[in-house]
Amino acid sequence: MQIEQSERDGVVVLSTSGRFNMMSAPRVKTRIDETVAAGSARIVVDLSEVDFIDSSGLGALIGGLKTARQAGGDLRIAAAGEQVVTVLKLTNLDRILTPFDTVEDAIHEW
Amino acid sequence: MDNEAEDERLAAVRALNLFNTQPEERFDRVVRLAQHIFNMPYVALNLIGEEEQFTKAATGNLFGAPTSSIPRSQSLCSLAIESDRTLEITDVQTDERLTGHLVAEEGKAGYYVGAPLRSPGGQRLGALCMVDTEPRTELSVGQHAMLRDLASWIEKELATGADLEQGAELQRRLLPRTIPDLPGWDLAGRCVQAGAVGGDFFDWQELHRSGEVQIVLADVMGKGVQAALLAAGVRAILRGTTPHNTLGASIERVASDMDEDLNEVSSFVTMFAARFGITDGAMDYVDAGHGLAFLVGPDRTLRLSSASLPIGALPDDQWVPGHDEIRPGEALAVVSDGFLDVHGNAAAVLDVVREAHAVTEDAGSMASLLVVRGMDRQTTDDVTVVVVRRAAV
Repeated sequence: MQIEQSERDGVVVLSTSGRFNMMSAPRVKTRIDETVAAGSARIVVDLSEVDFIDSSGLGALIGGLKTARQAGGDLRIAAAGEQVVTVLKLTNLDRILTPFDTVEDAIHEW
Repeated sequence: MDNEAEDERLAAVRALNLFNTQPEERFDRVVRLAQHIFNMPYVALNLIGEEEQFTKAATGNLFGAPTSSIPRSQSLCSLAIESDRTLEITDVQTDERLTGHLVAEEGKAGYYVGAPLRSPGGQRLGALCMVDTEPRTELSVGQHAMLRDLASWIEKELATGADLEQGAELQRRLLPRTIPDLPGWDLAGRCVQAGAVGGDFFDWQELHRSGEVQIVLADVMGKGVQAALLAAGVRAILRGTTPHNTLGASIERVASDMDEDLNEVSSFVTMFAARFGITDGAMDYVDAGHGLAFLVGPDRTLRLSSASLPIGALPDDQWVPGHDEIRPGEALAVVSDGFLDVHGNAAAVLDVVREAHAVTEDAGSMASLLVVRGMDRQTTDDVTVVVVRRAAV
């Protein structure tokens, strides 16, 4: 899994790609933790290039959400694909990880 | 080696469950690396059983090929495991220790070095060995240290496998050993482990005071011993609190008691739990982000869902139960999330459950059929199923 980082309007955008699973989840979580530790607690995770997420991936996003909120920020997800949305809905986690259609939407409505 | 020590050693070798198994990359890469570092024509990982030596990994087939076995009496590694020190024989043909040994008489090997491989308990399981066709000079002190490092790497890999095995055993022990005998009701559960240890479990409990039964299926995010231990915690807290609390309060108790443990490793638990009366079938249920619980029967089929979060997703969340009933002739079925990977969405899983109900007569065969439908070739997740069937009037 590739993780690319950029910044727009004071929000850090982490773009991930590939399979978001047990192998890649710890790296995403670490990157979120590092980003918050560096003082940026407003984070958007761009999932447009992610074709599969499992419970470890969800765990990393929830862990990241908690870290960001503790630092007074938030974590949002954008451009999630069909499989990701299905899993989020089924686990009711879309209540706390609201999927935004695009990265722009996620940043714009902050 | 006295008999008792040899018995313990053989027990440790057996516990590996590696005899006559396929090659594994985690071992192959170490022997390849050793071959490259030492420029040796043949490197192997050999395990020593009671009567034979099994070659778990090897670079080529100059001597024992991967997955081959030879009698222990023909094995040099069998000599290497007599001490904790690396055994080095610079000239196999002339070394006194090998006088009369088949390998010396055969004349194919010129040089042998073998570093014993120990279990965490200190039993010598086998050796990482390197063989040349010609005699060689002794390895330097630095080379001996390097060989020992590679052997330690393999020891770690061997121990990890044993760890997983123990985790799988732990997970099996979380499952109920008996089925409550309830007139008019039929309960069944299955948990089929798919390789790695997971955090799935199911449980049931009779609440004698209220005449109710509680069933639960839970999935702790993660794999390995860590997930199994978290599952053990969830199960123990739930069992302890259930007789004294409502369903909602019981789940809140689990959430608050497990919060720190789950936070520490960024894990969470999805769970479906239901409590039903055995006289009237009235049911309270909580769906903590599990999403795959279904009621199927002659008159209706539906998914039981609610808006509750998984346990550990947010601190201080609440789990307000929904209400329904299990009517005569109906079945409640809860299945693990692997079904979603196989069938795509919850509606498709509901079809599978409805069909399994229609073609079976009892909870046991319905659960067994569901297990089959929950697996496909790529399954790496555990497949767990709980079925509660109420007899038709």
